[in-house]
Amino acid sequence: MIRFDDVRKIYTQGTREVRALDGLTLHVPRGEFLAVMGPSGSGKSTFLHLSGGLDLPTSGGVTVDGQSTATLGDDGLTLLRRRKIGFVFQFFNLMPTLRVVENIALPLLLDGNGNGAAVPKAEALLERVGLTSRRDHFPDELSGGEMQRVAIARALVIDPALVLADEPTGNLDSATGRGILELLKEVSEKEGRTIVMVTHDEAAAKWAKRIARLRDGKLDA
Amino acid sequence: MRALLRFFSLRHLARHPMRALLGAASVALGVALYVAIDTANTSIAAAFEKSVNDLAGKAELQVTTSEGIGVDEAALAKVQAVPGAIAAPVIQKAITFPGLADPQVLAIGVDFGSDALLRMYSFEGKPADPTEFIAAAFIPNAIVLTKRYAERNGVAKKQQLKAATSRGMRTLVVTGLMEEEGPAKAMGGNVAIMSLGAAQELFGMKGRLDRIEVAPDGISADELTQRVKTALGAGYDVRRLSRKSTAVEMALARLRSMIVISAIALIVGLFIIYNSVSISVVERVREIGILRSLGAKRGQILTTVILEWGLIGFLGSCAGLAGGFLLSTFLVPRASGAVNMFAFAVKVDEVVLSWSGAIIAVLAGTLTSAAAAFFPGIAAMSVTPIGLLRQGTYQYRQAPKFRAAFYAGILLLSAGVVTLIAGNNRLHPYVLLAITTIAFFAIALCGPQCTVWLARATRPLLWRVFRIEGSLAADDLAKFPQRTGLTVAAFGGAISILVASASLVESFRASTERWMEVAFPFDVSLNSSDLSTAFYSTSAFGEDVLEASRKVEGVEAAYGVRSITIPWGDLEIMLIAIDMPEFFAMHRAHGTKGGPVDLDRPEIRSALASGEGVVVSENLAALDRISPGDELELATPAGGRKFKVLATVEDYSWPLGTVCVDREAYKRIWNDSTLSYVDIRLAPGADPQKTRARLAGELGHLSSIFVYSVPQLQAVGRGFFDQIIALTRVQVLLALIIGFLGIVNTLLISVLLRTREIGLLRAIGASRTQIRRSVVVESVIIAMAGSALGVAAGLAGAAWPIRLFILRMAGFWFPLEVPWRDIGLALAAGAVLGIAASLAPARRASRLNVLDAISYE
Repeated sequence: MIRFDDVRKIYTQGTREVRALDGLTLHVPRGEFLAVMGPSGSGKSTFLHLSGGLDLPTSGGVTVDGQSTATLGDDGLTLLRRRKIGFVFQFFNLMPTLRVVENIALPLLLDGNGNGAAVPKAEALLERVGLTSRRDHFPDELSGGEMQRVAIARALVIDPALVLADEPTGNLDSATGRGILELLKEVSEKEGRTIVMVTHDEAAAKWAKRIARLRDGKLDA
Repeated sequence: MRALLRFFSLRHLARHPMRALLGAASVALGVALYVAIDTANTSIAAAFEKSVNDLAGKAELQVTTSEGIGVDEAALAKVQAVPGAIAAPVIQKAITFPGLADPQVLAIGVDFGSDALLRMYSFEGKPADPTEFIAAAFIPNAIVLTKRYAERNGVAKKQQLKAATSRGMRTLVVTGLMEEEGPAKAMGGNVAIMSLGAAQELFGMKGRLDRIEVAPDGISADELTQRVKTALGAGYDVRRLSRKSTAVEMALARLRSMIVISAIALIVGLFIIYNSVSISVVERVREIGILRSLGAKRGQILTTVILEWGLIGFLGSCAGLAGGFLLSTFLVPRASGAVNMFAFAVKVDEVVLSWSGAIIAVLAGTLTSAAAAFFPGIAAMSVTPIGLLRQGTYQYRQAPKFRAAFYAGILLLSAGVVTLIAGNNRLHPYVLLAITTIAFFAIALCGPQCTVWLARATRPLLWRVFRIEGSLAADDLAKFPQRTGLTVAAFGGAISILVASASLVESFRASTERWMEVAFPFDVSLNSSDLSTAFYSTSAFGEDVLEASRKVEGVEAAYGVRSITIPWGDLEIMLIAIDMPEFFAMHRAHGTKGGPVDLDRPEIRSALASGEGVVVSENLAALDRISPGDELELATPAGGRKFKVLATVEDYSWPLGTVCVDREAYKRIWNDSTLSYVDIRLAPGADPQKTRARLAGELGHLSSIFVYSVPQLQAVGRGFFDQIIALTRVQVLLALIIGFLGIVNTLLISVLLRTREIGLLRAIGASRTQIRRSVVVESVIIAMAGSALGVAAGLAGAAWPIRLFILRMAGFWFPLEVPWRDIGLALAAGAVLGIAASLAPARRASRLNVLDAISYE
């Protein structure tokens, strides 16, 4: 599903060069639940951003679902994210002006679907994450766990081949976090979707099928 | 505090120069408009006052009858015989030298012997024998110009000049030049003197004078007035030398009426700054938190924010001061041009900045900015940083507050309406200005709640038309109703200026056109003056012209008109005497509908003919609350005389209003049988060109006659009208720039506040085009809502407070016309400006780095 071949990502901070990824080679097969761990500055988030087509490598090749991100251009990357990748963020990143059901339906709406197609699908996912009663609430009326469930539902609404989760439990208490991890595992195992989860938390990482540890932009052997 | 200013304020401003610039620019425009108006006002008033003083010399009194009739020369001897009086005769008329670059000159006919006792003249070369020089220079058809005027126009001594006078083209020879002293300093040097006899001959005033000017010699002015009055008896008007001119006062009033626009512009600037400060506070909430934790007091931070924006306001005001001064150089020639269409009364050769006005403008700009910063600053200080961090959601919970503000706004608007009704059209102009200003605040108070309603109402439609981008735009509007509401109010303010100006211009134009349609039942008009020189002239010709014109081949009917100005308080109104039977007959033959025809009733005709009654113009009636049936006292040669007001008519001959009388009655009461013009209806089938040529040819020997067709007269009227509305266009342009800045400011803030959301949308698959479209839709909604509000507010303002303001300030009163074409233009301009204002913010939004955006926390 994801191939990183000798990927380097170098940022410039003032006059200093920061090697976020330094020759990383990593393959994530379709249907795998991968946890990516490592200390701060190890390149975890960069790995996630490059996987999601949010950024491009300085050198090396990143292939997502058989497509090289370097050749797609902005429109191609936008479509890739819109149709094949679901994102789950640490800070939930829900649209504060949209109701819960609208937040979930948003990616479909962005893809040109009408309410008739998008809303039933969003409602089905709402039921799946156990928030039917919160359908017409605004994000600021939800708890952290509820917001993250909505974010996962939003990520799943497009039937993505790949779900990228950036510290999805980082802002939640452990009981709520466990519920989210169960949900992700279920998505991976029952639906065969590829999940890549970046986390600091060893306990969270254990929910994954495989753990990749990064240090200084490389796989930590 | 200095450290806070340096590290907290100035560095923040340096990071966001565009926002500071937009804030400063919005204040600068309001200040510029005020300074331009004030400077033009001051410059014209100063130039006029200086000219009056330079021309007056030692004279303190003037003896006139009614202007236009002139004073009998015999009265001069009586005044000169008064002990303690130094008297000199004066004839004062405008003449034009068509071939020169600066053609208009005020020609003064004087008896040099007596005039030299009142005024100081100094001639070029200081003639060794003044008597000899005067004898040589003050001869028939000779004129003495100022050296300054001669140099400016390349005229030399002994040169012959073609002059357009009220008696036609004459050739005058320049027999001398005056140095810069006394009357030569008046009117920017556009002054000429000539002998009294030459002036009487040139202007057809044999045996008559415009006035006698008198200076006291060892007695008080009051004592002198009494003595001169006693010496002359009834029929003369003896008063202090007039320091006022109706034309100048009216032009200044028109200029001052534009202050209402600059006040609105400043309010719009206040809204823009309010928005800017709100966002700058939100942006720095962390810094505020840090500073507070390090020991900075709430008051210190609040003071810093106020000082920061006060400084921006001050700098914007200074820029506005400079811009306003430049703008006034555009306004002054147009405003003084409009004055001189009435009478050559002012020549401004120096634009004078009024320092008091400049200080007021800079203070107003600075304080407006500081006040705009005060409320968001207070709000920021009273909420915890965490509360501010959650402002996006925090504002949703302010719904009850928006409703309360809405009701407060409605209450204020109602209070304004009640004040207008209770004021019964007699409110002071500045009260009307205050009501207009408060109405804008009231609209701003209603803005947030209206925005919420607007967003809710338009969301389904926007979804249908623009899909997700449309509903995102609607949501964003509702997310920050306060900011959106203020921007809508700001843009609405700009559009309302456009609509109100257009409405007033259109109303005035339509009224003038309608009036010209009914006021000109004739085909040709014979005038005693050249209308290209001045719209109004006091010159006249004899009744023989009327009689002779009736005999010219091709003429079916003719009637005579005499128009003069008569004192009315400190100023003057116009008295128009018409041959009423012939006038009504011509209207009947012309088939005129409405207007003067409505007066063609036996009781009015007989009351006019007997001299008991008069008809007054609607603007005079509105200005002085005169109704049919009232009594009106007018100045006549025999003193004040009361007339019954028979009716009111629409008439725009004179800004302060006109009084119309029957000419037969006028001849009896005012002892004047001269005519200002003769209006002629051509016989059916008569060739207009040939008849006009015959009129000019056959009547030319009787007097100087200018023959005009109706289209020519209408063109002169429209030219004058265009001169007046040139000023209005400047206001409209500035208003639109301010509105545009308001939207740009709001959208930039919107994009900034939505950085994270935009990043998120991009992350989950929104394309750059979708983001751009969403920003553009939002902008167009703001602009269109502002336009709709502006159209409503503009029409309401034009219909009521602004029209009353103009009536109280300038004397114009006319039925309101809805300027449909301009409303269409305003709406189109709103949409175009909305799109244009969104381009930069939309580009910025679509180009946001997704990673930077979503990691913004």
